Amino acid sequence: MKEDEDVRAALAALVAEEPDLPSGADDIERRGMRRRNRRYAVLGALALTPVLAGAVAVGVWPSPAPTQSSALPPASPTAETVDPNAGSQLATGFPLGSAVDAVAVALPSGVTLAELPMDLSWQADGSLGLPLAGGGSLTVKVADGSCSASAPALSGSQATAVADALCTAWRAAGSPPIMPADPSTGEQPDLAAQ
Amino acid sequence: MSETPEDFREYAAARRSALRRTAFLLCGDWHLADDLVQDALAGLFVRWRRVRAGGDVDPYVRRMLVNGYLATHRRKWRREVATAELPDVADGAAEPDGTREVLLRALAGLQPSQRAVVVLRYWEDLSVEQTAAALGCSTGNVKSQASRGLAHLRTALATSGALEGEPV
Repeated sequence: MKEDEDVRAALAALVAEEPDLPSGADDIERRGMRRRNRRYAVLGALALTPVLAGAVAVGVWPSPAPTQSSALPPASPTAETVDPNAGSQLATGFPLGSAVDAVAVALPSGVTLAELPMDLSWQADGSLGLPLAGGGSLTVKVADGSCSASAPALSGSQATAVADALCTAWRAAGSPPIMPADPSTGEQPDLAAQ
Repeated sequence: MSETPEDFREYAAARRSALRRTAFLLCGDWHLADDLVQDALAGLFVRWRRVRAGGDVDPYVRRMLVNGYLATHRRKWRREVATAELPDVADGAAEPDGTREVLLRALAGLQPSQRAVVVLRYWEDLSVEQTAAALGCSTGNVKSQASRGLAHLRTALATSGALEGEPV
């Protein structure tokens, strides 16, 4: 006999008057089902929380108002025909650089251009004077849709070749107008005197 | 309930009554004991396959039962209140020796963990190690709690004369 048999017997006596068990185990199973469903619901809520938070964040995030873009007029196809130099400070006439390059390439061997002066520019009649390295100058002219060149150092055919090269460059540029330079500094009005 | 495994039904049917008696000794109320057993078995139902695969079903359910009892006791609105005087004291005519009331009062006077130690050690007949595992405490704690709880019960029983061969 165990030394604590008295206590065991007393505990046994306490449960001797056990009332009847609730019938069946259905109540336990129902409770277990509910507990499992609660667990699944909690897990589902935990999984959905970040998704919902992301959806709310996306919904609240400011986006460009679509009405603004729809209010704009549709892009006009005529925009492509607008002068690309429009709004710029660039001259729209025949560029001096293109003319000088065309002439320099067309000059016969032994004849080259000298260093160009700073005030090189088209004249009002469409002519341009270019200094030659061997002395003298070459005058080219674009007027009335035709080109000409004349220089003491050039023969007639050589001058014609230079004129043809100049016209080719002019037409390649789109036959722009010849824009004479602004009045020279000395011809500008003296604003201080005014 | 076709989803319920048949072996769970068999286990619950076989162990429910014993678990109910243990729960009653823990809490002192048959209705609360039914609740505790239902909670423990419902928890077992959710994890039935895993627990059964582990092979330690009884210790698992026992631990859930004790945890449920201790959790109930920790709540401020717990249904059992340990008092020096039981609210309904049986008169001598209804219960001639009064030993049952004395023992219930003595159990109610124990600390919850102490009561759990006494019930597991002297009712479930668990070893010190098994009791420590069920309660999640050290074996030394189980020994000291069992010793003090046993002394408390013996004092109460000796006072009532139940240990002198009187019927319990």
